[in-house]
Amino acid sequence: MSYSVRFDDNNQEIVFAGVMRPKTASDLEKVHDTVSHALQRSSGTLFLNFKRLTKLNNIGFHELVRIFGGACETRPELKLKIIISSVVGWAARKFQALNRLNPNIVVEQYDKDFYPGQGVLEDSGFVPILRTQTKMTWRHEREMLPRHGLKEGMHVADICCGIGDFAVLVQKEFKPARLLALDHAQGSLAYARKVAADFGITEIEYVYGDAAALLLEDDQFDFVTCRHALQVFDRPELILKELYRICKPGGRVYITNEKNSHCLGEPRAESIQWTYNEVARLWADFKMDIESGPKGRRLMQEIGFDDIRMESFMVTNLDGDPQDFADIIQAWEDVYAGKMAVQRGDSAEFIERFRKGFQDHIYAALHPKGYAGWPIWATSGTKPA
Amino acid sequence: MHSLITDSSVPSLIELELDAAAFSADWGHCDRTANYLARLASFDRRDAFLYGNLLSTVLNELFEIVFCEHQTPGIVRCTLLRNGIADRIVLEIPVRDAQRAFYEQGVARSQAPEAADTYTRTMFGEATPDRSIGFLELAADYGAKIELAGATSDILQLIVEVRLEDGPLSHPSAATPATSV
Repeated sequence: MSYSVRFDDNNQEIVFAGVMRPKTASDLEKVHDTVSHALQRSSGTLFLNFKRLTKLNNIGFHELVRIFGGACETRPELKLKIIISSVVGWAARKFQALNRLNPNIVVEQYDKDFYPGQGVLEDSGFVPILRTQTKMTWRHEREMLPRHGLKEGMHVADICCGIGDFAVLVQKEFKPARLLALDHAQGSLAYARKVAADFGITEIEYVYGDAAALLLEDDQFDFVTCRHALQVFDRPELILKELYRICKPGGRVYITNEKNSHCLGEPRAESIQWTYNEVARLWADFKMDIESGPKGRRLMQEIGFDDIRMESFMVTNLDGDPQDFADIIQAWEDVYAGKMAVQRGDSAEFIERFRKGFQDHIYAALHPKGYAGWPIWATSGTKPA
Repeated sequence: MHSLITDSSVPSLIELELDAAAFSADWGHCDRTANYLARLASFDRRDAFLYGNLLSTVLNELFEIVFCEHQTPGIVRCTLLRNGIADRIVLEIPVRDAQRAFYEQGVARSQAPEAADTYTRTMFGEATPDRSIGFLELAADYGAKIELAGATSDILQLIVEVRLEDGPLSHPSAATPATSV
C-alpha cells in the first residue's frame, strides 16, 4: 500500500495520491493526522482532492467515511468538498454515496466544467474544422517533427489528442513502437476511435485521461506531444509538469501553441488585426491564453527541460486549397463571435465589428492576390537524463 | 436463470497459479497480482487504461478476500475468461469448513435484493466491515454476478462475472446481479 496524503495550506486542500488499499484501518494513521492538522488550519471549505488516488479498498473507504464524518461533528460549520476524477473509474461509484452522509459533505467530479471555455471548444460542430486545421498544420509539422527528435520506433504519447487525427498521421508517418493518445473529452475520443476503426488502425491506444493529473507512470515515453492544448488551460504549467513526468529521461516533449493577435491578412489588414487583438482579449476573459505560443521556451525552461528548440510556422491560404483556410476562419467566427462573445455579453455593435474582421480574413484568403496567415509556435525540450 | 457454473463455453484468457503460502506472505501481492492480470486482460478493450483500473479494483477486492480466507498448504488458481463484453474471474481457493461458510454467507449476502443498501449501511456504520464486504461492493457498484461451486471438496470455486465497459453482452443475465445460483 503506497499512498501519499499532504495538506496544502495555500489552497486549503488535502491531496491524496497513489494506492490506498490498507490491510487494516490502522494503516491510515497518516490520514487521521493530516485531517486533524487541516481541520485546525481551515475555515469555510476544506477541499479533499482524490483525483490522483488510483485505488481504494473498502477498509480504506470505511475509515475515510469515519474520518470525514468525525470532521463534520468536530467542525459543523466547515464544508468538506471532495473532488474526484472521472478518469478514475471506481471513484464516482464509491464516493457519490458520501453526498448522503452529511449535508456538509459535497462530492464533485472534476471534468470539463473545471476547464474554462473547454465546453465551447468541444462542440461536435467543431470537429470538421479541427480535421482541416490538422491537415493544414501537418504539412509543416511532418517536416518539423524529426528536427524536434521524433524518429521511427519510439514510444510516443499524444496528450490532449482531441479527435485523434494527429495521432493517426504520426502512426502512418513515423511508425512508433507504441502510440498512446489521451484526451479528457469522451466525445472527441469516441470520434477518434471511430476514425481509427474506419481506417483499420489498431495500433493506437486511445485513453480517457486528465492531462493535468495523468495516471500514467513516470518515464514511459520517448516523445510526448501536446498540441494547441496548453493555451486552453488556465494553468499550463500543471500539464507541462505531467508531460515532463511521463517522458523518459533523455526523451523529448513537443508542444505547439498559437499567438492569435499575430494572425494577418492582406488586403483589409487593419480590420483583421483589430479582430484578432480582440480574440486574444476574449480568450483571456475565458481564462485561456491564445497568445501563449512564444511563451513556450520560458515555460519549458521553468519546468527543467534541456536543449530547448523552438520554431514558428505560418499556416497560410497558399497551403493547398484556400477554401480550407477560409473554412477554418469561418469556424472561428462561429465560435468566437457566435458563442463566446455572446456568452461574455458583448454588444451587437461589437459583435458586428468583431465578425467583420473574420470575414475580411476570409476575403484575403480567397482573393486571387491576397495572403492570409495563422502563426503557430512549436517548442520542444529534453528531459535531463 | 443462466448459471456461470454450468456454462463452460466461455474461452479462457489467462490462468495464474499461486502457492497459497507464498501469496499470503505479503499483503502487497494482492495489488501486484491484480495489476498484472488487469493490464494483460485490458489490452484490447476500448479504453485499456480505464478498463485496467476497474478490473484491477475488482480483482484486488477478490484477492484481498482470498488473502484473509484460505488455508495452507494449497494452490490459489485464478482464471480470467472473456465472455464478450463481460469478464469472468474464476478463483479456486483451498479452504476448510469455516472458510467455506464465510464464502457462502458473503456470496449469499451479495445475491440478496437489498445488497446495495446493506453495502452503503455497512460503509457508513461504525463497525469495521469484515472482508466479505468486497462481495457486496462488487454486486452493488459493479453489477457483478457471483456464484460458488465445489461444495464437496476442499477446493472452493468462486466465480465472478462483471461488465466494466458498455456494450452488448453475449448473454443478457450477466448485466444484472444474480438473485439465485
